[in-house]
Amino acid sequence: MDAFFHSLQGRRGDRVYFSFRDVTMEGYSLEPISVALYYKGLKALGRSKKLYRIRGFYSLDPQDRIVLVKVGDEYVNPCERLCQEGIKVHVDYSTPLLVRFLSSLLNGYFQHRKLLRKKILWNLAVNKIKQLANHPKLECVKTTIYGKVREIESDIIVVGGGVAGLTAAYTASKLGLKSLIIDKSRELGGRMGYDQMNVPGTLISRENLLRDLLSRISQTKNVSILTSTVFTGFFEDHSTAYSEQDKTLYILKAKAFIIATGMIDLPCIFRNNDLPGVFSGSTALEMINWYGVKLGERGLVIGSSQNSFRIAEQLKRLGINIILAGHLKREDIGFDLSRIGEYIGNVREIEAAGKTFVEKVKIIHDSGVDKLRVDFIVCSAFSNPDVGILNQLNVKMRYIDGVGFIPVHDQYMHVKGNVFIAGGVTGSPYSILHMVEGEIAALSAAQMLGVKNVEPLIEEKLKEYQTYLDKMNVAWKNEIFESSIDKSVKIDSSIYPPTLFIEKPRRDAFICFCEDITTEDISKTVYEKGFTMLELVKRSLGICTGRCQGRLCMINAALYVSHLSGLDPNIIGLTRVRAPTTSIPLYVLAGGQGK
Amino acid sequence: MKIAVVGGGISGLSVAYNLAVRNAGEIHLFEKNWIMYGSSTRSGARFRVHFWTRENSRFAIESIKTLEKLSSKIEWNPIIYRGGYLWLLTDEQQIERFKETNKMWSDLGVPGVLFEQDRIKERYPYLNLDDVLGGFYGPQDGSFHHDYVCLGYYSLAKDLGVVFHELTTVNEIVVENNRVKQVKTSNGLIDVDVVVLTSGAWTNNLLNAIGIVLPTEPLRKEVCLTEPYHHFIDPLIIDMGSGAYVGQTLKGEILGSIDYPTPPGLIDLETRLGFVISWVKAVTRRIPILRNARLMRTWAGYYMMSADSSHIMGRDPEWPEGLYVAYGYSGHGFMMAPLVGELLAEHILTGRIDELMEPFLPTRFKENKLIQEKLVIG
Ligand SMILES: Cc1cc2nc3c(=O)[nH]c(=O)nc-3n(C[C@H](O)[C@H](O)[C@H](O)COP(=O)(O)OP(=O)(O)OC[C@H]3O[C@@H](n4cnc5c(N)ncnc54)[C@H](O)[C@@H]3O)c2cc1C
Repeated sequence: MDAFFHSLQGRRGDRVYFSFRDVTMEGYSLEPISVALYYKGLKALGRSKKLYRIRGFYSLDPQDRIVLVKVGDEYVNPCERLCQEGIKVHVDYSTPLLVRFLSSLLNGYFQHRKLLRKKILWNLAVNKIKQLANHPKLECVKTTIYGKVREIESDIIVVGGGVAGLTAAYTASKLGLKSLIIDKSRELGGRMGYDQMNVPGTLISRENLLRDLLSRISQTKNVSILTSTVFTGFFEDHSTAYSEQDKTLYILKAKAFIIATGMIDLPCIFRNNDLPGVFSGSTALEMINWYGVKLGERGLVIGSSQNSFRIAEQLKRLGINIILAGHLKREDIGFDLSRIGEYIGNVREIEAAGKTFVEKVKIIHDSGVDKLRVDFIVCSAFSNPDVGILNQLNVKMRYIDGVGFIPVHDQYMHVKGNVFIAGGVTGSPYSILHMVEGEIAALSAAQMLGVKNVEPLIEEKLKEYQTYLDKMNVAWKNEIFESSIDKSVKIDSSIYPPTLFIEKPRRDAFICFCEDITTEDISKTVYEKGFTMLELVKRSLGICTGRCQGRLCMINAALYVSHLSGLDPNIIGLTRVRAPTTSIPLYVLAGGQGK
Repeated sequence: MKIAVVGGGISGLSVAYNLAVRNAGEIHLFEKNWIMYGSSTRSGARFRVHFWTRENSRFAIESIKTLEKLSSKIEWNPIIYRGGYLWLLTDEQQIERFKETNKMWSDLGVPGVLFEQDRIKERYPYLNLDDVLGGFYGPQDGSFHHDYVCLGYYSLAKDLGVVFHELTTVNEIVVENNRVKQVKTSNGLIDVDVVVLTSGAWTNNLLNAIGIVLPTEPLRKEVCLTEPYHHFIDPLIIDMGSGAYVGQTLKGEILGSIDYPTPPGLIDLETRLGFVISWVKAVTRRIPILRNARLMRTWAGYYMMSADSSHIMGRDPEWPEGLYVAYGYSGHGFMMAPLVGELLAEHILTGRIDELMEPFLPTRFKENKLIQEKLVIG
């Protein structure tokens, strides 16, 4: 537990040497390969699947499996696999000749019939085409690795060990319930673990708050912890989690679940937004505050939210020159700009450029064009609740303007069956709310499990919660609470996506990075084919079907379609996420008990 | 003529398009969710001409031809690919059966090849053939992309004026004087002359309400899909020993399923870890390098099983006038639907019963003329 407070050095582990494309590299044993390489200026980690675009990593989240590199014979996620003494890392930057010549025709080469209408031509081409995608090869890999399957039982399983999850687990433990916290990060703390600014809405400093929570948890016997483990969703018969590090599949048995997965910083949509050097806000913070990697000398932070501002300020403190750019007018942002530097408002279009990573940007705004040299870009214009698991559970979602797609829940934090939610995933903006939600979720779960005398505690907490909501002006929450009863949806109110920074559809502005789907592809689907439900956009383009299972593209796609079609995002809808929400190797599954 | 087609899967889309292309009149297609919500986009997306029965084999041969013809008309690439089917046979009886039936298939112009074990090893070195005695390879069989075929039919039908009512459920068929008169939908009542039920696993809900019962029941089937890998598995491999099948899509994902005990009925379209593990064990045994693949997602759909594992199309003369069905595809409907649409449209408009269609009429159950089809995969 105390690992959290170890020095940066302790967090990075021991120095190790490994090879990258046959050149010896230095890294740390607790540092992901991608971070070690970035530190050495090696930002390009491979090419994309269809268009063979150079790609790096957008986030360090193990669930965003955008780019894979080869370690020995195995293809691994370089953001998940840690540096290890002696390993050989390989990246293939080559592009097949055919792709190089035909790349302009390759947009949608699978589904659209421009070139290969003739049956004979198709039959000739198909044998080539099936070999053309840039995929890992299975053929050469050894088959001697084994995984483990373990069953774990607990009264309550808490998914996500941020402030909300920690509070929930602690609250449950006080009532005598056993809880298990599962978190995909190596350490507990969630966002608060690497965001070094104080917590808005509380008077306590972030460090104190987290230290206090963690130490209280470490003193109870009722809370157990699984870190570096991804909760992989609810199958009909069992729920599961998977640890890549331990090659272990966990079969989970619990009487109730509390999902506290926080939020995802969505990618911003701008030209060449797939270049290496474009990061999510939380990844930027993780890189500087956890791994001590300075992202560059000059950076662009996209967004005009409080979050953008906090990120800009932390980057600035490291001596990085920061430009902040966003939709809001300069007069409308309530921050002290002198603390971060430049702000460019009313931005209409952003174009990044660079050969193999971000080197410069062009920003078109109402009062002109700015051309800047930058070596990285941070996307922090908008965060949506990380609703993947709840979507997989088929929980109803509602879009609330300015907040995002929210799982419909009642004030008891109940969503469905024995599942409760708390924290950022509920859409709440402030940590103080997240803590109260954690308490309410745990109390409600306890009541469902038959713990006596919790009603008065719940009533008390609900009052406290309502007071905070009123004070902090989070009026939309009541709308969400009501929609769990029944609510017809407003129509005809399209939105301007908070992440959108292009003036028209562009074939170099990407929405889906796994399947290489651009804003131009989506606009064709909407305008030429007339599809507006996301389910049908998915069918026609394959969006949300890649390795990240829509984690990074689904919300952006829905909002972009809403923008193009003029329809309410609630009409566009989302697509269903399917279990497992993150992939699991078959050799691990093969270790389980079949029929 | 005013026609209601109920259900926007491949069956309904094919029927609607074929009616429209024959200028049948005013065609309304009702879909309670969005088009292709049902089994049609939850399938394995494979076609084969090899069935135990002549009826099904002939029907499939012609249906694939229809699909190929259609594919030059549509704006979507149906991604037809003849990768073949490979049945791995683990007992002498199976080998005999395939040998025997191959005479019929040769007769129909679609002979398969019986492979000895070492020949299989040579062609498909990634297979572990420990307990395999031989194999049957059907080179005429292959795959398509279910999304793009559905979208192709949809676009053509739309251009021809078919009216699509999505998010609209048909709740009841109103019959008067032994004629269909109206359909009651979640958005109101409309008058119709003809109702075609292409509602897949849900069809019996509407039929039973007007007193028609056919021996069919939905059976949930689950599917596993891995992350995409460089293409290396050409055929669909059917492991007769374990009841598992596995293939690779042209997008690179490994897709498959296994026969796993499931109660019949319209149970939730969820998937089970038990099923997954069972499939994984079977396929990693058969193709050991798949151990390194990663399971990306699972989903479920329904096989609408009929008593003789063959589709049901047309009408029973004793039914109310104007009522037709096309359902009960028993797990291999996607490949049959192109021809079903064509022949059924022809039948509705002219009364003609094509010789290929005749064995599949709903009357076969009461007349005890069952088609003995048992070659169901998955
Ligand atoms: C796992 C799996 C694998 C398969 N693999 C293959 C394969 O490889 N090859 C092959 O050929 N076939 C395969 N099949 C079978 C094939 O998918 C089906 O036979 C085919 O899709 C059936 O099409 P359909 O249009 O009859 O039904 P569906 O596609 O299910 O369409 C029925 C539609 O009707 C709608 N509906 C139902 N009731 C109403 C109502 N009252 N009002 C309005 N709308 C309604 C539903 O929403 C649905 O969209 C597979 C099936 C499964 C489940």
